[in-house]
Amino acid sequence: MKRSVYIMAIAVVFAVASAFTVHRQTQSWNVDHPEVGTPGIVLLSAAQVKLFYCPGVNSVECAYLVGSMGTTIKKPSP
Amino acid sequence: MKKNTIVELISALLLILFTYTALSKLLDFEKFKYQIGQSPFITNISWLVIWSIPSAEIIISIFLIFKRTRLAGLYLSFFLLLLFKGYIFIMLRYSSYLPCSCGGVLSIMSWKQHLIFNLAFTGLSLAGIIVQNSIKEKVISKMRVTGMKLNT
Repeated sequence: MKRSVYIMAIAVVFAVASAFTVHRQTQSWNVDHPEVGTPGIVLLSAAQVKLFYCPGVNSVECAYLVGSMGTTIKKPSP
Repeated sequence: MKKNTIVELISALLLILFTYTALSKLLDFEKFKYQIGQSPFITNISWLVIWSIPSAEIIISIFLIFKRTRLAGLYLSFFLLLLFKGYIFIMLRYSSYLPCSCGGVLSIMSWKQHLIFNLAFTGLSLAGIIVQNSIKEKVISKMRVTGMKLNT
C-alpha cells in the first residue's frame, strides 16, 4: 500500500512540475509561413519554434511573438 | 515482476499522461478553446469538448491513484484513448486542415507520431486492465477456496 502511494505521488509531482515548467517556457508565436496543415499560432519556446519552423540562417522574418511583434525569429531567405 | 507492480507502473504512466495533458490544457485554456473551435468535425460541440476532455482526464487521474478505483480508471483511460485515436484517424483521413489541440509537448508531434503515441498508451491501458482483472480473479478464487466473504 505504501509503495503504491509513493509511486502515485511521484507520478503526480512529476506531471504537475512538467506541465508548469513547459508552460512557463512556452509563449504564443505566430508563424508567418506555417506548413500546410499546421496552425499559424503555436505555443512553444523560442528555441522550439526556431528548430521546427525556422531552421537555418537568420535572414527573413519567420515568426513573431503574439503581443510583441518586435520580437521575431528569422529563417533563411527563399 | 509481480502483477501488482506492473499495474501500479502502468497506472503511474497513465497518471502522468492524463495529469500533464489536463494541466497543459487548463494552463493555456484560451489557446485550447481556440484550437478546438478550429477543428472541422467538432466545431458545433466545441463547448462540450472544451469542458469535458480536461474534466475526464482529471477524473481518470484521480481514479488511477487509488487501488479501489484503479480498474475503473484503466477502463476509462482505455475508452478515452480510443476516442482520441478515432478522432486522430478521422482527421488524418478526411480533414484538409489539421489543427492540434494537444497539451504541452504533444503539440510538437506530427499527427502520425501522435497516432503512434496514442496507440502505445491505449495498449498500456489494455494491458493494465487485463493484468488487474487477472489479479482480481485470483483473489476471488482464493476467497472461494477459503470460504471468505468479499468486502464490498
